[in-house]
Amino acid sequence: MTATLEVTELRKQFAVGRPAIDGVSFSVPAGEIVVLLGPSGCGKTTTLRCVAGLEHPTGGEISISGRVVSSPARGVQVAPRSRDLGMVFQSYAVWPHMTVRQNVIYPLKHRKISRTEANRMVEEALTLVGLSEYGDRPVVALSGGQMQRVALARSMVYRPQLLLLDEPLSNLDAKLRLRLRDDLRVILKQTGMTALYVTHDQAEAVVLGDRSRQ
Amino acid sequence: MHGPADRRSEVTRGASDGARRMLTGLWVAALLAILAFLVVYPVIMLLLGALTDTNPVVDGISRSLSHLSIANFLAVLANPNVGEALLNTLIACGGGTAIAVAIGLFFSWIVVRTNTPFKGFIAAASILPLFAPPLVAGVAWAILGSPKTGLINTMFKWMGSDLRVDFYSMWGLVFVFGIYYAPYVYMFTSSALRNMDPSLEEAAEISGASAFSTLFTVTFPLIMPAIISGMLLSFIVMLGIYGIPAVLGAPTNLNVLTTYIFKLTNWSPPLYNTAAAVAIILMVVTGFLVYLQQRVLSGRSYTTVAGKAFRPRSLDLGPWRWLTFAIGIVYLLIVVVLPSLALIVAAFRKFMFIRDVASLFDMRQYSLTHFESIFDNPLTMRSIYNAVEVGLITAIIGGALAFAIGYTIHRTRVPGRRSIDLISTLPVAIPGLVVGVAYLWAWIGVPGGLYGTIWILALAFIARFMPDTVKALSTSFLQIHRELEEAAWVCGKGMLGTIRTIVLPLASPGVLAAMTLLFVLAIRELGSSLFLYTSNTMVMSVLLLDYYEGGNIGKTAAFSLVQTVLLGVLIGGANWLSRGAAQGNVARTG
Repeated sequence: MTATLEVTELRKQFAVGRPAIDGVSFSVPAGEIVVLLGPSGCGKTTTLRCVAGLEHPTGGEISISGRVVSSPARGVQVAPRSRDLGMVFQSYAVWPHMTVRQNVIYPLKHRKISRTEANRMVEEALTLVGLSEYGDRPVVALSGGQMQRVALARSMVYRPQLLLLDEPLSNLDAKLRLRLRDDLRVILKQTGMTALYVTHDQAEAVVLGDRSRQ
Repeated sequence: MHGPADRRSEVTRGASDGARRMLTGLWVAALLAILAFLVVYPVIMLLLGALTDTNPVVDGISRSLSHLSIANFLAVLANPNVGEALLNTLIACGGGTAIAVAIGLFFSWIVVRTNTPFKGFIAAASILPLFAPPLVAGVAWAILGSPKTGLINTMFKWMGSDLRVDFYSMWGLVFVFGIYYAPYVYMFTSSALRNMDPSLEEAAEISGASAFSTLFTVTFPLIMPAIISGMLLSFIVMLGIYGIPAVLGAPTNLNVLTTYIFKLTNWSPPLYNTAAAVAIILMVVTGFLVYLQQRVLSGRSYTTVAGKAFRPRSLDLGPWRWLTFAIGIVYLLIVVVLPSLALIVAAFRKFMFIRDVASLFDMRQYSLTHFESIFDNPLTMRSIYNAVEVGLITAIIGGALAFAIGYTIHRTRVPGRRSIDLISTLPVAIPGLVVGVAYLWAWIGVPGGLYGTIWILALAFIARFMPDTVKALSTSFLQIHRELEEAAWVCGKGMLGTIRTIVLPLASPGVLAAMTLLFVLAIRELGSSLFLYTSNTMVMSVLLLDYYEGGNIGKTAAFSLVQTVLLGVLIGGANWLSRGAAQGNVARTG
């Protein structure tokens, strides 16, 4: 269920200027949390988006549990939805026209899962992030921290083999950030998922990471 | 850290409080009086007209007032012809809106969210129909789609196909409405798409949804408020259009509310009371829709938290991008190229009868006869001259009035500015044709008055386009930071001096643009002119309708071309003018 991530010699060149990523290699062993740490604009988010399949790398290779998902040299570029991964966005990206439950059940609707099973998985995910009582609330009625928990539940509900987190705490206020940071570590460790975490906050990196790359 | 509300108070604060307060009072009273004269009085007269059964010309206003009863209005409601016109209107506008939404939504998606080649070109093409006067568009489609002599059917016959089209029908009306009013939907939905956080769609994709399913479960539901308000707006505009249904509906006696109202005033004796009553029905339907649209716009909009500026996200369509490009070209062909070609062929051909395709390219069939004959008619030059005169009066007075109103509403805290705001936005809910009928009722019975002069047209246009002008102008000076004005006050300038030396120069590109818009709108306006012109004050758009109703397609097409070219030159020239002003402005400020 949980998998290793292997990134080798990754390169991404946008239309103009010098490459955003130039020959990055790292690996995330199964079940570990690796943090990419660095100042803004150094290519962390682009790396993460390449792993997600939202950006197409211009060189190098990405493989998830042994399966090559991106390799421009070999013409391989697997669509994001076929990579079986979860992602938490900096802007939460929870859908404002849905309730909490509708948000979380959305990924399960695109998989072959029975309704009762799906409902059970949603309850489990909501309990995990501490929102089991908020299921029927519209997401726009939630606070920032709660929205980020919805996003987390949504990204984990289908037990993806890899979880990607793109500065998930940076839009929260300082106090909330500390609390959610500790919760996040507990939740991730509880599920035993492999995770790649991007941040520019050193403290976050130290608390969350099993290893960290700068 | 001061809210704008704190700062506004400073406008009304002055050295000699008493004198200033009196001046402010006078100013507000003057604005309210002008608005009452332009908007409130005609609408009240229209209401009275609907409620009496007397003729304002024969019986005079005072007698009309003594015959008030609701019976007239009820009789109109029960009239089966009115019911039929209302039903036709709803079908035509409903069908047209459905097509407009499909086209507008599709194009905004292509332009904002895909890698279709020449997107900028497609974006420009998709708002082009906004510039076509409805009557000209109607005439062009009559030439293309008439069941017997239409160019499309001639082409079908030549290709050996049994296919025939008939645009003199409800289908034709719905089709032409749909393709010409799609830009209203496009404008709303494309900006909503552009302002949407792309990670909302990315999250759906990562969740396992296909691009198609993302579109229908995330993208479209999220921009639903924009879709609905664009939809309502296009419906509202179609409701008030006279030119297109007048041309396409007349041959088969297909009436919508607008054409029916005009018919009523053209009977002898003219049924002004019934026309007023039907105009009120049209106004109520429009008002209700405008209210709905405002509700949708002010309702919850889905704003999202965003950490950074949105990166433009475009879907890679692969080879399909050439299909979307081709669809863009087809649309351009249908709304711009085909109608223009039809007008050109009809204008330059001696006879509209086209035996076969070879004769279409036979140069001996072409001449300038129609142009010569329209310019032989002294009314033609007269109507151009009148239209420009009305346009200039409307632009200058309307622009100045809108500036005064906009400044009073947005930059001062004088008491009464709420009512000024309310009354000046009221005409949004009044279709042009209804403004025409209202002004007819307001002035036809007043002896020695405005009726029959150029001024009644100009005043009606000023009232009709007031909300648009105030809005356009307001955005131009709301961009000027308040501190620039405050700096001038601190330097010792009075309020008027500040407006003259700071606000006006900085806002001048916006003011000029708004006046140009007003000028162009006034020149192409048909709905309200229909009821207010006399043979001396004939304007271009009315004369064009006259030519069409006279049955000479060649002359109609020739005059359509003259009008289109004139409008094109005016719009181009004005753009060039306001660009020059904008550059000068940049040079001045830094």
